[in-house]
Amino acid sequence: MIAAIGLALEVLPLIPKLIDLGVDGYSLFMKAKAVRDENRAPTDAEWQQLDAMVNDLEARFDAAARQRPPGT
Amino acid sequence: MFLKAIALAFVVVVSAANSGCSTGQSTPTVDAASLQRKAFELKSIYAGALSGAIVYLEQPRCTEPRTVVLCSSQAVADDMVRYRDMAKIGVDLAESSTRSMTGNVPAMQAAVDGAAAAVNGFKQLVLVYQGGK
Repeated sequence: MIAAIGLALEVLPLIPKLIDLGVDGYSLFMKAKAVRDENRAPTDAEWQQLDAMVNDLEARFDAAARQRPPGT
Repeated sequence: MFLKAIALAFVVVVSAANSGCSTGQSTPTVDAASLQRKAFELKSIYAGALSGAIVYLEQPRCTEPRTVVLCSSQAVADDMVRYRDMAKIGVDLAESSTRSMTGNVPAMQAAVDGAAAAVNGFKQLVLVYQGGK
């Protein structure tokens, strides 16, 4: 229970931003919570889904970070 | 300064694990599974922090005089890139070292601890700047 609250405190503040980007943050949180609650290692499919999401977010981060102030 | 502290802590824990343990390969254990679970959680948190950073970075960069209400500072953007780079190294190392569950458990633990520090630093920076400067 305490572990689940700890995970919620880590992830929940960030979920609105995930939703802003069209990422299902609730699903992401519930997946991490399920892995923890079931006391098991994530499956390959769960890793692949997370990796794909992170790859997409990293590409968007890099594109946004390249923006420069006008005139520079 | 904080970034340097995280980088130093990361190097120290990984070095300590590599130099202090010579037991070599071990069979899969519950500990290895729990470390992989922790690496998965850290990558999920990293995904959340990335999304918060993107929302900030996609705002127009601030100019003087200011022309928009919400903008992103170039200095903060540069910091986010540095913190993101550190967190990415951490989560990638934690994932690669824990997914097979056949490696050196102390080294896995060091990788996960380093990733936790780096991801936490990135997340804290993003939380400070959520909603614009």
